[in-house]
Amino acid sequence: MQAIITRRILQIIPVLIGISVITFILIALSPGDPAEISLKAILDTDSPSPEAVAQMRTEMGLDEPLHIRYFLWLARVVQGDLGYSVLTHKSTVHEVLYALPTTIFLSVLAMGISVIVAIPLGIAAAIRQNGILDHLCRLFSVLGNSIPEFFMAIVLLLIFSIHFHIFPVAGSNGIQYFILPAIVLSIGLIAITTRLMRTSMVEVLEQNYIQTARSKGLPKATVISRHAFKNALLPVMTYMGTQFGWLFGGAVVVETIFALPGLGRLTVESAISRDILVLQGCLLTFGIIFVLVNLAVDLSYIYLNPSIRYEEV
Amino acid sequence: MNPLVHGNRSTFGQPEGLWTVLRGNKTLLAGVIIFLSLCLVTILAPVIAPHNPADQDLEARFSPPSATYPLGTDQFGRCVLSRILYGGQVSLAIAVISTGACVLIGILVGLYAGYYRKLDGILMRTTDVFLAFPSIVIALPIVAIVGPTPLGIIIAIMIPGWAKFARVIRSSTLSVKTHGYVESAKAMGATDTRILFKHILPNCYGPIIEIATLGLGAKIITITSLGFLGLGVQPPTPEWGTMINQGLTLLDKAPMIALSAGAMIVLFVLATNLIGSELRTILDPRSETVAI
Repeated sequence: MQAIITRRILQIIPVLIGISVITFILIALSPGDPAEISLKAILDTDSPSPEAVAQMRTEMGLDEPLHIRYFLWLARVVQGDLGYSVLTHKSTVHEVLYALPTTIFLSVLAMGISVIVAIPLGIAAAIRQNGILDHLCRLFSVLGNSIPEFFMAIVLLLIFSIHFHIFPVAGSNGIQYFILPAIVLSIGLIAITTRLMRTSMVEVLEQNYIQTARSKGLPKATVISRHAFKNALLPVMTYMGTQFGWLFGGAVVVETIFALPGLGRLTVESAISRDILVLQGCLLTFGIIFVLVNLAVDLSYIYLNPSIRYEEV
Repeated sequence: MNPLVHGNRSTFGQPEGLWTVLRGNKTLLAGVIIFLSLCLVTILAPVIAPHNPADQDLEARFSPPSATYPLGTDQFGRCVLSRILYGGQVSLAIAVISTGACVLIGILVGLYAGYYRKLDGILMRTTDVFLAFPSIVIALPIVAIVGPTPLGIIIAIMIPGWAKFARVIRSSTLSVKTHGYVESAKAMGATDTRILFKHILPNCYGPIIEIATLGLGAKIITITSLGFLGLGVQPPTPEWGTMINQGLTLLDKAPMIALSAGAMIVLFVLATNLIGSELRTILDPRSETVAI
């Protein structure tokens, strides 16, 4: 198991390098001089002298060939230097770290809602296959997957905030501002997870040990809660773990609509205002978080299933 | 053995085969009908749209739905229905072109990664890197750099989009290449290229059609999300996402702008999801739908 874990951890290195290369190339291709941008921030002026910019370019290695520039850039990134925002003149690291907790909180909340709703719903649908609830769940999962987050957000805002005044329209001071965005974000995940939980449960219920438990005369509720539930849950939880990255993608749109100051909104704002260095920081953060979350999911999977032979698929 | 994947691939090729599948599967039929009607009304927009989408009737700003303007007008007195129909042309064209490009790149990467063990490692690690970003996160900086033009948006969707296709086609290739006929083609002296494109690729068509359909819906969501965020095709060109963005501030005066554009998006994605998930059930009855 030790070797498997080590191999899995080592596997993220090439992916992390790839993420850094993509981020670097995207930004290297973009118009705008990072030296000038940094000088504006450091000197707090809008027109740094050409000599100062030239000197800064040399210091940052911007006149070097592209591959050398990549390594110089990487060395700065590792030290936590991602440059400065054109807009706020604050450092990118500051901006990203300031925005990150909002996005994490929103995603965790959405994940929590999904677990609470989707797992009981999936189990209920599996127990009474082709019942009314099963059909409703199927309808919901097709619809839930077909409505883009921004449209769902508009409809829910119209109903709950503008019409019934249950939730505030926008803001971020307190949990009530997060509920509606988290619901919007969770719907797509609930749609898929419900189906997955149903399938997984149906499969488990067909197993021999469930028949044994039933033929012992155990009540149905005991069979499902004691014998079937744990085995059916594992693949679903693994899948949900890998969907964290997907939630972050949804957060881009949802945070913008509900004006939550998270990483998603920072990405959109810096893209619109072409604040390239902040954009770079956001991209890098999204990539790294995704890789780390997937690593955590895989490791917990190995931990929970020591019997499963680990194969690279 | 599955008739759509192995051997008899005429199921999609011959009209009667396709019709038999459709008649037996109401969900698939519903998806296909919605899909084709949406494509038809947007392609025929110049014929069926009641007005020119750019024509302004300043006398009739914010007019409610009527016989002249079936979905009312916007803040410049432009016909909302005509803009929805023409807007579909832009959204759908971008979705089809970018999905097509993703499929082509995905086929090349997937086939070679699945067939040549030496290439597998590097190609799949590259794929992993592109899968590490939510597609909208990587599309945003690309649009910011290239510019919010149709071409820019196609590039922004294509660059992260091919990775999922490559992965699916690789796993199909891995399973197809163990079949006897690949061995016999090899024994007959067929070149690798011929084996890849004449023997392996045709047997991957099933999964390719399935993920391309699901991908089309996902691309529409990304395209309209970009439009909604203000980084899509720029006004005055009508585009569904941009129209929702514009309609958001006018919800109290002309709710039909945002609502009808949203309804079109939902219908289109619904159709692709219905088709894709049913195809998946037909191709692999054991698997359950997980959207791409």
